[in-house]
Amino acid sequence: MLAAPRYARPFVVIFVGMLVVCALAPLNLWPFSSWELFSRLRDPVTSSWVAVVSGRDVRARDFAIGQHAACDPFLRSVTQRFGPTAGVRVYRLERLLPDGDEGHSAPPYRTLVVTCAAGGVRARR
Amino acid sequence: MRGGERWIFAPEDARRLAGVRIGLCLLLAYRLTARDYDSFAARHVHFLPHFYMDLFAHMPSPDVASLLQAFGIAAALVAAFGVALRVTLPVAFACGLILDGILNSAGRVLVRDALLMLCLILIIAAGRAAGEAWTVRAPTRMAVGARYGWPIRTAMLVVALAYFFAAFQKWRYSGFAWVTSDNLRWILYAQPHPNGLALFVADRPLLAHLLAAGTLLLETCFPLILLVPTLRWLLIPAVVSMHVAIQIALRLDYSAQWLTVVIVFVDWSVVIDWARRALAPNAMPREIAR
Repeated sequence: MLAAPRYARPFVVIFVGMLVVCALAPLNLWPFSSWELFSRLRDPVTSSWVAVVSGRDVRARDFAIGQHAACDPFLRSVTQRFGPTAGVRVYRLERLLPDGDEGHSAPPYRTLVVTCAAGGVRARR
Repeated sequence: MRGGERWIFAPEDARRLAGVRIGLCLLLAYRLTARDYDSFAARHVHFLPHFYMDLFAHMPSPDVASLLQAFGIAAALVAAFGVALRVTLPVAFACGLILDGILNSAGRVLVRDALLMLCLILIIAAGRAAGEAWTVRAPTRMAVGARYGWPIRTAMLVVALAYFFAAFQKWRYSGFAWVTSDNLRWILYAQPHPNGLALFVADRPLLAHLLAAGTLLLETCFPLILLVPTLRWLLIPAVVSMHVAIQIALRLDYSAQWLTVVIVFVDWSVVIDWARRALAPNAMPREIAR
């Protein structure tokens, strides 16, 4: 009978231990996930973020983004994509979901979160 | 504790481990083929590095993504054939890890391929044992031992814990309200364009509560599959059905997860032996006739 290698036991302990710690902590050290799949209750309001880019050579356009973080790296990546920009406005969109009989959902509310400009954060609400 | 150790280090057939290696490598190759990483990298300039992606100063360029995709697919296919496993498996894994990192660094961390990648770590850790059967370069070794058992058994434990922790987090953050509230209905309605199945469930509160209860029960009880092997016939089709229903209703592709479950829990040596026996009667009359 072929035995397991000597490293197998400590490896299994560490590997399974990592899995348990990441779930309990919770830590999302992917692929050691925290397994938080739809774990938090949803309410009838959904939120999303949208960035609006404008500049001398750029026609104003908006695109969906994930939750907004730091301005500087975001501005750099937007400049790489669209060329020199005057600034980027980040909005939070909130939408009330329809209940069964309501048919269509209401139009989203748009709230300005931050304006990222070359000179730094210009306005924040 | 001793019982758990005995279970993990129980002997298995070398061909079963080889079957898991082939299945996971082909699944990784398929996952890498199925996505357009270069256009994703080009589209998501807002780089929010997650965990190991902090090693990159910015989103990897579309050219780098394409290169990693090509290398990853090639390495995964070669590893499936059992060639140069010490090199091909880690290369395939590393390419997959970075490409998944690209997807995870656009503001949302996706669980989808996590189980596949965790099980691939175990195949890499198995070392030479994963390449001692069903390879193109060496004869199949008809061997049985703990050497082949511990990576498979640990992968089974990982799969069981993944489903259990998915339930655990629901109990932790939402409790029984995950079933009794309109949570599932809001999830289904929250899509930009809910399809017919999503609206069919969301428009019927009782059906939504029943499906939520079934999901929570299934995930909570999934570890029983390790203690009662006959439950595999019930719980594995149940999780496959759950993921397929989620894919149709929410357009969330968890195929990597449910295919990993199938690959890990099916005893491929038994399947091949059964297939050989099933095909054998066709050869019998010729033998008799001679």
